[in-house]
Amino acid sequence: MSSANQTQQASTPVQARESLGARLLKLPHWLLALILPLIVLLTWQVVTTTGIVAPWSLPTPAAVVAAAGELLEGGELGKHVGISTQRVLLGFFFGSLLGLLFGALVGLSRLADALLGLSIGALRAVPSLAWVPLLILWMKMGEDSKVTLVIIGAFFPVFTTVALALRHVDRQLIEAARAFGLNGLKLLRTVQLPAVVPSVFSGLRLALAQAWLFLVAAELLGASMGLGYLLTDSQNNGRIDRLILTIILLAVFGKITDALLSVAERWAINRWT
Amino acid sequence: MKMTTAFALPETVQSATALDVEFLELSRTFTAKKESNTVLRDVNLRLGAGQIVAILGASGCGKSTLLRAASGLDRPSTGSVVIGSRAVTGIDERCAVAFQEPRLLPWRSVRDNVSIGLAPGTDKQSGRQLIAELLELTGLSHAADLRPREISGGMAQRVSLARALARRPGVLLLDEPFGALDALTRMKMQDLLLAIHKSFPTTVLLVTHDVDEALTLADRIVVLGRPEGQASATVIEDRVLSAAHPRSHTSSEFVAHRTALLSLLGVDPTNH
Repeated sequence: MSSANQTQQASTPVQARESLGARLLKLPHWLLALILPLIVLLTWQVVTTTGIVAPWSLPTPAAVVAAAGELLEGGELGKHVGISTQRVLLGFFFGSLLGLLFGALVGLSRLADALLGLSIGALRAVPSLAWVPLLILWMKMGEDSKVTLVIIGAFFPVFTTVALALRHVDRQLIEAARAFGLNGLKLLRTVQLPAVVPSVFSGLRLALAQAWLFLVAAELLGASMGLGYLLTDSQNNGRIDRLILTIILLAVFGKITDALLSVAERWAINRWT
Repeated sequence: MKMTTAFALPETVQSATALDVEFLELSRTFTAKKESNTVLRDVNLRLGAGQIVAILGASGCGKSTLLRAASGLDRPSTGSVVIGSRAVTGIDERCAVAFQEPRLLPWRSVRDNVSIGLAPGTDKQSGRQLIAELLELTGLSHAADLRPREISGGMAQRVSLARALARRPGVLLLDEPFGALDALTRMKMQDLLLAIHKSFPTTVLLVTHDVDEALTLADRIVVLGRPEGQASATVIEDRVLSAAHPRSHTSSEFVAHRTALLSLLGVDPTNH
């Protein structure tokens, strides 16, 4: 009896510490995730309204909201967001498609790997910004140069994950399927492709993040529309409220598109493993 | 034909015919980094149609290599394998294999995994019926819609067996199929295999390292090993077991075979 009491007493502080973390974890996760942004917002509000930080280096949250309202009213914000989204989606679509095709080729064929591996690896090593002047020279300032850069950005993550995943499909499964007479396209359809579906989705998520990255690179250096253009334009005009608004918008859109894909990824992992 | 076992199969599941298997002067040499290693040399064996033949031997003596040559998954360096009247030249549709691991596709249900075994050209209706019957036979009907990750190791191995049977093979090749199972499950699987074989006339080639398993199941036991002073393995023993099933593990015949086989494999029988 007494020894049981002692153990209970001794373990009480540990239990209390655990239960704080455990209690926090019982809250909905979206609520937990909002704690940090709210703290940042609050700090931002306090330092700007009390004058600790001068308004020309950081405007108040209200000023940023006002900037958003102003841009929305003029129809400009919709135009910038629309064109940027269009570039990202087009570039992401074609980039991932090419990444899937080349990834499948290099992942399935040793010959293709030997022939293409080095060259694709070298192209991959070129920093994204290095392509911009060349693309502008070749394709002028129009849509083509921007979408092409996004395609380059989306291509590599998909290519790499698909090629690696196909090369590492369980050999025993492939052998078993071969023993039952499956080969070529039938083997690909029955074993290899389903086995890499989860990796394809994680590759797609990386590609989407890269697509936004490359989009801003393209628009920063030569565009008359889009969120990247809004950044340079605001910088040139000293509109720091618009600058911050654009950064927040990039974060929000990047996160939303990523969240959509992560739902698809979870479904795929559940379905294909 | 009237079936009386608990695992009786309807007429539709009958395999075409059991086929005999002949290994002719078969050798297999593996070459890696300029070093060549002859695993099997001069294997000559003729297995009668419908027999259960166990291949025994220590690890690395080429048991699986022999089986892979029969299935067409591997090619012998010299010599050949003849099934029925036709030599094996590639993946052979008359054979079906079950491996030590179940090797099921994780994204397919039990039923859809079994369907991989169906011979190409099987029409949908009879394919579906065959699979239902095989699931019944292997006691998996209740698990037909589950995924491999949701079933036990023993069940997964039964799925693998059902998949092989779906091929309606003339030769059933089993590569240590029960080796990874616990002792009780293994015994149940051995009973199942005998029951299947009774209602399913196929030649069974069973690779195992378990002497008792071979003695329980086989009509014939072939031992692979390296003759003294040689680096490659070949047939060093070939015994015919005539006792009827089920076999007593304490009969003098069983014990005598057991003692002889264990000492042939380098194990002191007095300890086991």
